[in-house]
Amino acid sequence: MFRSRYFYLMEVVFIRGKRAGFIKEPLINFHKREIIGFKISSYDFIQKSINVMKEDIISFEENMVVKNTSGGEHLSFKELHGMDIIDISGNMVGMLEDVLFFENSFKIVAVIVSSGLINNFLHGKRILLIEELLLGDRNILWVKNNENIKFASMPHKVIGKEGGCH
Amino acid sequence: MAAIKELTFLLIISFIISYSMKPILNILLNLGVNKKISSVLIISIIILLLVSCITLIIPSILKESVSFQRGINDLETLIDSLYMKLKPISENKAIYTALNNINDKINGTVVNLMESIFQFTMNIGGFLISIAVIPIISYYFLVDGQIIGNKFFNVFPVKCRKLIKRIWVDIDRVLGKYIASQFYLCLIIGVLTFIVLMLLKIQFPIFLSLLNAFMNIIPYFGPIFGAIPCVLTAMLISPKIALWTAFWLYLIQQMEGNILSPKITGDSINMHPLVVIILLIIGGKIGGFCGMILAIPIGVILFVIYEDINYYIF
Repeated sequence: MFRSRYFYLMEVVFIRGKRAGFIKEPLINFHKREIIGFKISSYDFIQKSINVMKEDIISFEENMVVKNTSGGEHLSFKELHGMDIIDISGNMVGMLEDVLFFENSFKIVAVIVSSGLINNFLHGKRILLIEELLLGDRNILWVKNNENIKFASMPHKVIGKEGGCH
Repeated sequence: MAAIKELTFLLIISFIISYSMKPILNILLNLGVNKKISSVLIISIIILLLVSCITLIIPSILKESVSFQRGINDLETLIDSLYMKLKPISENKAIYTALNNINDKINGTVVNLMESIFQFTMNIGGFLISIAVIPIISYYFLVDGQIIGNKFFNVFPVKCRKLIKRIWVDIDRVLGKYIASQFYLCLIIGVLTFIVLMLLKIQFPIFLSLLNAFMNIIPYFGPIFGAIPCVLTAMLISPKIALWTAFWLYLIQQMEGNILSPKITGDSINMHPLVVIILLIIGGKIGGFCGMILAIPIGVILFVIYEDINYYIF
């Protein structure tokens, strides 16, 4: 599974090797709960920023190889990043920090919520399933389905560790 | 101690040069040119630029600095005439003292500036041989950057090397874009300022455009620091010319800030303007002018390290 930072400033190149730009942020369809593409900062002087849609991506590792780029306005991750998440009682759960999505389908599974620097280290970052979230204008509403299961990403030793989530 | 200082200076300068030339190297590599040939080509161009700088720009700067005194005198006359104009309006001592202070300040600043330029030139002369090594070190950084980098990572224990390499890749992405873009922006600003100053027939165009280009590295404050000497020099001709200079320099800055900078840096430095200003103030307090130049790159490095640790630890 990926987090958005995996794609941070990743170079985007066309099949023939021409550089298109670098990734700025993912584009999200919150209703369909998926990453629909990426907003890229173009090297072309005329175009300010362009998008590369999911279906145009051929492969990605160090660089992303794409067939085509396109224009258009979509909901970007930047607009969601830092948004407050509240539960039905109006209590603040935390701030949306990142999204977790599948490698192949780019379907979003969950969001990572930060509840404060110290709190994150003490209790970990909350992980909320996307199907339990409703996007509003100012906040995201968390509708708890199951009280008994609680997901969290705990701080772990990074030195000498291999693998894990990207 | 002095040797270590000199060596560090050489390595840092060579690293910055090779680092900023990396995009050009990549372009040449993509065109199918051999890495060694590309590096030699880039270094040759740098040497050529450096030599032309020494043979063309430095003598003209010195020539300009000779006529600097005349410029200062003109400026003083201008301030005096301003005082004479103001005299009938208010005959108090406050204005006289203020104008006197301005005179002293300008004199002091110029003397200090010239002193530091001469001091810098003398220092350069002191380790001219060391400077001659810079292109060679830069060449090796360009050709064997990967190998040198790997050797450098040997300093760290094996356990944390992978993490450090990952963080380095991210810093490299952000910092590489920042340094290279600053070079290109300085070049563009320098050329445009030179054209404007030449067209408006203002004295010391080379010196002033170099100063403005260099100051441009500092966000927000830099363009003001760079534009003030240009406008003051233009005042020697006429206030109208000074206004035109201010207008054109403002236009150049607007073009740079709104069109070129977002395009060239490509929003790679995702920092809030407030953070940038705070960093500049801290940098200025700690290291003066150099601190202000280095504040943003250091801030970017720290920000990337924090973001990466925050990413990998959870």
